[in-house]
Amino acid sequence: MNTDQRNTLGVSMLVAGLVLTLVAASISWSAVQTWLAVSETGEASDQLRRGRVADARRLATKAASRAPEAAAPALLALDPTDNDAIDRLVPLALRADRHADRQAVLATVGLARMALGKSADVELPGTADLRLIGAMAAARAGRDPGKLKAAENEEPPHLSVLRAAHIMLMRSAWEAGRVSETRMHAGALLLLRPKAPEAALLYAVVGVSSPVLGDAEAMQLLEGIREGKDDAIRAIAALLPQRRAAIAAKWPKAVEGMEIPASVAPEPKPSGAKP
Amino acid sequence: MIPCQSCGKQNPIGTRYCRACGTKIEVNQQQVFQAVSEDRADAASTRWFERGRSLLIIGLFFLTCALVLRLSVVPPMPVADVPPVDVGGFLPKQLPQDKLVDNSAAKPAAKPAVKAP
Repeated sequence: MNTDQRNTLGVSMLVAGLVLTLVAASISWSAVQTWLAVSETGEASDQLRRGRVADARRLATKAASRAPEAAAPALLALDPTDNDAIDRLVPLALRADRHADRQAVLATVGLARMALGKSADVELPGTADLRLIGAMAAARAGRDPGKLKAAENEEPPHLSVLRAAHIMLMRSAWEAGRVSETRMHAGALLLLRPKAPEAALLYAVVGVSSPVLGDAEAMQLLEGIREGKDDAIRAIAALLPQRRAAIAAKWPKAVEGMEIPASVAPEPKPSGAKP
Repeated sequence: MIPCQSCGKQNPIGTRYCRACGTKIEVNQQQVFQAVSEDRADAASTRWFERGRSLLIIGLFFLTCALVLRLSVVPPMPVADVPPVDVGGFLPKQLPQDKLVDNSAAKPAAKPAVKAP
């Protein structure tokens, strides 16, 4: 190899080495950013589980700025009352690599739009999410949402969608005075989050509406309600005339303006139940 | 390097006798200048070659480390989940009517018994 050839080869290797170093630096920077984003997303999820929504959203926003293509931090950072932010999520669903991410983004968009009183306007074939969102929209519009049944080969709904559906359908049944349905949704909500702050209210709804429970035990359950106790007791009294006398004895204001029946026949058993 | 006039062997500058045939090497000033400049060029090209090789090895090492970091060490992004969306409280917005309207009320009344003819 003569001098010129060695010179050329040396310079070529120098340039190649520089390019490789730059590529390595770029990959390392991206890896570190992804690592930080994963860590912040995990931390945001933990904060959300503890009910610290503002902290969770702040951490998730930081993570989303580090990894703008990732769906998980973008969903955690979403303000569901911001219509523009909801619309900005739609392209993320198209770019998402994983099927689960795509479904989560579309379900979030549908649920958030429904919560704002708009049409969901998303395609979610083969999932229970869209049916639940449709049932919620019907309940919101005052129509009959129908029965919630699982279809064959259907992907299960996301927990937040299922919970929102039970909340809306319980409220709708409560407003219509349908006791069994209200109790069923309250029971489902308890199973989904048994240690949530609203668990005492849900226990009270399930227990007090049960014909098996005596008045004394039912009043103990009502006593355990912490948040919005007066409103809750009044709403339960409105739903259950057979408990009004017992409630009136302890919380007379809760039954103001309501008729207190002298004796109410117990709720009839379902037709299929054995005696 | 200075060539031997007898055998043509290249000898380093400063050599008085050929290292191959032992002939006394006679050099003129022009030959020395040419040999010195060739040696400098050779040394420079060797330096560039070694620098390039070193940087290439360093680049390959960094690239390997970066790929290992990206593909093996960094955990994957967690799967996205639907965040909780506020759909209103648990309590009804309006209280149910005073009269209890249960699901059982919607059931059809029992058919009256039909007497056999």
